[in-house]
Amino acid sequence: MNQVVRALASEEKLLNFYNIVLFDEITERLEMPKKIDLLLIEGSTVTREQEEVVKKFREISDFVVAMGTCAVQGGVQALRIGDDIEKVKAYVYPNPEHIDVNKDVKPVDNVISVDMFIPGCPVNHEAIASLLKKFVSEGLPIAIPESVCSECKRKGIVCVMVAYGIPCLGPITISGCGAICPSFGRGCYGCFGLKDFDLDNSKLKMFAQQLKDLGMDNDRFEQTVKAYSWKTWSKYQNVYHR
Amino acid sequence: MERVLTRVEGEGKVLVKVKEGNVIDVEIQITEAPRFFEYIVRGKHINNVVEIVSRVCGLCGVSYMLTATRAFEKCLKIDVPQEVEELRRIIHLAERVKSHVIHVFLLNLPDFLEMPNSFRLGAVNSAMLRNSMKLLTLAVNIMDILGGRTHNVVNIKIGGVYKPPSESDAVKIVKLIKDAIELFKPLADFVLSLKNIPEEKLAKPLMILHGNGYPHVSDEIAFYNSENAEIFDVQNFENVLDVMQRPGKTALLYKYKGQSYIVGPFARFNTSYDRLHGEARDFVSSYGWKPPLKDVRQQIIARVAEILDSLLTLRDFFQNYKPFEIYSPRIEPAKADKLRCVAAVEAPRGILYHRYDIDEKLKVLHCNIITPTAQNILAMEELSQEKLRMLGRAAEHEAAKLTERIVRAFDPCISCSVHVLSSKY
Ligand code: SF4
Ligand code: SF4
Repeated sequence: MNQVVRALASEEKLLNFYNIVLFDEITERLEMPKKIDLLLIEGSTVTREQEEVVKKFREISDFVVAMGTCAVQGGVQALRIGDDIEKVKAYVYPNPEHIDVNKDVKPVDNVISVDMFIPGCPVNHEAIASLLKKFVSEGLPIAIPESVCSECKRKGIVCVMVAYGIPCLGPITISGCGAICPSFGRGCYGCFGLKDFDLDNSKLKMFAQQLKDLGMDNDRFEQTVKAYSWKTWSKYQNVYHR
Repeated sequence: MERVLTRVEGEGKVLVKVKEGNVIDVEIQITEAPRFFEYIVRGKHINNVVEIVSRVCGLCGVSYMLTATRAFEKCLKIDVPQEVEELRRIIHLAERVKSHVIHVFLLNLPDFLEMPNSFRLGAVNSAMLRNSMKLLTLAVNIMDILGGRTHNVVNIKIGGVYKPPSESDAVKIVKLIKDAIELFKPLADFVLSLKNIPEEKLAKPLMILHGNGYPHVSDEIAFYNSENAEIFDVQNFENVLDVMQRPGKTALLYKYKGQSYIVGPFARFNTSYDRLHGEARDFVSSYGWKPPLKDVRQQIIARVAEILDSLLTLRDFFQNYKPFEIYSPRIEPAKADKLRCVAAVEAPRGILYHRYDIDEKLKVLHCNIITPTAQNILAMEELSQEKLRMLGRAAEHEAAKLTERIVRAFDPCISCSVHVLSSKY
């Protein structure tokens, strides 16, 4: 909610163009219209009920955006995928039988068709503001597919991997954050998600080896990638898996 | 009757049971699906854990990172120089400002104005809406400089921070803070002058982190029932609390010596008013607001005081700030095959407690997190029941709405309370 509110706060007039009909964290429920022009979905689905809600809203919405790493990739909760859900429940709950949760964590496009993806954990509020501004004039922001490294280069940020030997996931991570971590002298941990272009299993494997040489063992690399890139990573993992 | 909780962080419901016109039970239900944080951090390296737990809450990620890093630093005996620790607390206070600004102006204020949301404010008082949005922008700009972004900040690590702000950052921040204070005072004036803030007696015992200054970071906890404080070490927190789970429900409820209690701004203000920044104290008291606040729905006053207190503390800090060298202690493997790592901080909503057991390779074996909202839920329910009983039959139709307002006064973070469940082993 932070980032959407921030996007709305960034441009006074935006609020004149949008009638926010459903946003429980900000407004009491108002009367629901039959049609929604723009639907922003945050989060992944983990229950059947959530899937039904998402499907219902897809039906009445013109344009659907999966917003944030959870919606796009699955999110950190995807770290439990592959483990026995009964064990997961039993670890946390004294009465696991009452907890109704699927064994999978589904990114939104595993449930419905999605018209646009805005990754990020959290999303960059400027991307949301840009969408909200362009959408009112029936346009869309232009997505330029590149890695975080390109943002470093454009901003003249010293490469932490080259200069200081700090492991950095920037080369395999989709751009959009503005290279925040390198600008603080630390490596990227991939919170915007893996690129799903210019990358394949052998490149990933080679890259993992590079990071290992710099001190990030494969286990930590995998944990990090899985936490923020479940969907894309799972496409690669069968070959990549040790 | 049932009502979806809106204008809170996360998904929940209030359920009011009415029999023959009288309220017999009030329950706050957490409907958000669990994300199993205590489970997913298992087997993860402590550096990854700091980033992962930051994702528990959409509003107070810094509190999570600070609690986790402090827990790991204490058990691994990693020294954090005073100036580094100070800076981290300052980043944490910047988050307190942001979180409270959102709560006061976007979530809570509409209750006093009988509006469904604060965007409607534009129609009656456009300056008020514009300026509160501007204030939010200033607050997040301060966080951007200090933390890289507002949410899941990147500038906190075990052992300190990645990059101390530069001298020119400090100048920018001082300017932002001065603008923020100037913008805030008239907005605060509006809130502090509201005539319809209830002031019945509606409260419970209080719990805070006990230290030298206004409650913030400490290893001691104080429980206040009336004037007397019982003080205990944070290491004993899990032992002194009774944990209950309702059959079939996901949220756990906490009691101290058989009683529900309150954490957060209401508890901090009422126990530690004297330790607020002098200017903040003068400001709120000039409107006649002094402790003890009697009614939990007056928490908005405590938040206004805390916003100003934090802004002034930030201003004082950056006016005298000298950048320091980046400090990166080596994190050595643990000397034992099982270490217990415990810490707590005053998150915007109250005491946040983390416990991690880690192995010698610095991977988490077990984790338990006790969040402010989980501690407050029982108080929210009991206070709602008390209030509704007082009103008797008259409350029937308004019951759910009234409860929602009491809940909202607490600023609950439901996405944090949902996974705050015991890890039994
Ligand atoms: S610091 Fe990281 S993201 Fe930036 S150029 Fe180097 S490898 Fe790429
Ligand atoms: S982890 Fe990577 S993608 Fe995320 S903010 Fe840092 S640099 Fe950007």
